[in-house]
Amino acid sequence: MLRNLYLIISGAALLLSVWMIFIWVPTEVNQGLIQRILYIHVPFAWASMVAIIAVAITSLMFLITKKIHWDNLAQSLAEVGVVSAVVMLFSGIVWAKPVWGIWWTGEAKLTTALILFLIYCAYLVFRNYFPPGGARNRIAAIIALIGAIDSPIIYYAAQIWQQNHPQVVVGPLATQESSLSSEMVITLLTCVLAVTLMFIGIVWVQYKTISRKGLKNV
Amino acid sequence: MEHGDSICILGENGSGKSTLLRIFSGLLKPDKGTVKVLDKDPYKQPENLFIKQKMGVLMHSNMLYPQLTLKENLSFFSKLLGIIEYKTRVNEVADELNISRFLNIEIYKLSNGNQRKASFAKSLLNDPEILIADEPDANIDNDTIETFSNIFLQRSKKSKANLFTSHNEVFFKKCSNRKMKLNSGSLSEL
Amino acid sequence: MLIELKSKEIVVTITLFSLLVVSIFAVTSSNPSNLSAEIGSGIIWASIVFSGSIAMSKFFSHEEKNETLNAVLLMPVPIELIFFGKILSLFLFLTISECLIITAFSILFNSNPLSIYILIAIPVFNLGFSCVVTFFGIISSKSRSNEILLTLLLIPIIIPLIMFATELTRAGLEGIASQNFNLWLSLGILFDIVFLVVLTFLFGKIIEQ
Repeated sequence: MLRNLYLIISGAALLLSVWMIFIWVPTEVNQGLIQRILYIHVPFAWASMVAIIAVAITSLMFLITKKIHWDNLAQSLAEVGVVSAVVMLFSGIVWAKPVWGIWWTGEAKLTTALILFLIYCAYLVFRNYFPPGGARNRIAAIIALIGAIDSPIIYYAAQIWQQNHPQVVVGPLATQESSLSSEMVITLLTCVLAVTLMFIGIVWVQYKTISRKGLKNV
Repeated sequence: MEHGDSICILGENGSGKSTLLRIFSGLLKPDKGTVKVLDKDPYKQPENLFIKQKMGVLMHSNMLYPQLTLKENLSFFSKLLGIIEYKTRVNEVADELNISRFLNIEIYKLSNGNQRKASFAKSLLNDPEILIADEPDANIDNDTIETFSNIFLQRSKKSKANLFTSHNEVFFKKCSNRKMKLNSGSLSEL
Repeated sequence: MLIELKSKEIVVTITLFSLLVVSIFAVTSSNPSNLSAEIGSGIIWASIVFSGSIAMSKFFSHEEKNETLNAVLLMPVPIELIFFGKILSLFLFLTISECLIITAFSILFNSNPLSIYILIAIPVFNLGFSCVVTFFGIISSKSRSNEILLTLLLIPIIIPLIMFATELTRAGLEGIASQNFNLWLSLGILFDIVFLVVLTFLFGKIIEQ
């Protein structure tokens, strides 16, 4: 019952956001149609960021409590988080080319996002390569934790790097600041809400699947 | 297990003998339950340093650095054990096992049997209170089995404990005063 | 612990692989003497990082095969000391190889990368690298395809360190003072301290089985 309700709500939110993105929201003056990528880019960036923080927290909880469900939750969060990060990176790249004139820049936030994405890919690869068992789960949690510890250092490094190497942003609209109208803000919030609901739903399904697989193996 | 006991653990292949010995030696941590060796917890530092000081372990693999000579290997481990007169000790142990002539040869050049002896020599370096040996008789000839079993018997006389596994009937009959069988996870005295 | 230094294999592997990478760049660039500092420092550190991770994974899989790490763990030595011993020996391996690589680089590209900056960068980089590589090397040696796993885990984690070393080397190659030198140095040292402390603390957790 609760599950059906959840499905209906998140499905409706997704449909609503698709309608808002493509039909309802006014086109931004400076960037034109391409600006609508924002409504995909931001929610997925948000989802992957939440996922990474949540993986670190659940891994820490697993190391402290040694309860397997924390580890299963960490794994499902990491899987969905990595997929969100792919969407975020790809939409960002496609958006940057027409707006900034380049596919990619060495900007601190971009570099950090890319490297965190790589760390969590390595985390998932590790889970697949290492023989299953208590040792694997513990080490995976440790890797997630090390990734989390590393991220502020990466961000710091990327920022100093950026100071040394000023970016050449040559796009036609690179310097123009654009502000969002209230309709845009509402659309953005709806999209964030819809993606978050979808994210939680998928993580939950994935979590159930992993737990069931784990039980079967025992 | 008492001082001077020499226990042989028997059991089919895959019954968990090696795992049991690994748990006693502190290399593996059990999923459940607690283990006490010499009244101490083998998985907690610094308590376990005391156990490690008094234990000799011989496992399936030889646990020696293949590219170093026998002498270098034995000296290295003696130093880690904190043996001050390590040069004389290395020679003593090598004499005891008849491998003095190999002292300056790299481990990987030795035959399997001699590597086994070298590994046994390593586990005897600290004249351990407890000797844990996983199939000490694997890969070696009859004369050497004789040497090994004499060492086991001498140790028992000095009231030091041995805990080992074996499939060789002659060997374990001679060396052990107690036999235990490991069958589907439970240990029973024979 | 220094006895492990007897295995010279690792130095040979790192040096030869890096030499190959550096040679490829030397052969494929049209005018090696005219290489820009930015690319030059990238070449040096990319070759060190990749060949280092290959050689180290070999080193740790040998350890795993012969169970020599377990042998040392059976000795009455605190595990932190074992960890530091490993870090120290890998630190020395790396330093020797880097000296050779930098010499080869300066010959092939007719440039002089030697400067106060690179002399500072090398020990700071080596400490952090050997710390992280020991940790992940032991982890990945227990799995199949350990070379891939070690590289995948190692490189994203040490990215800040690579940026640090590349930046200082570039400053050295250009022969000008590096901007933000203090910031970079504090970053490198911060990385080393954080990882040394955290990984020493976590080391016990990865070796128990």
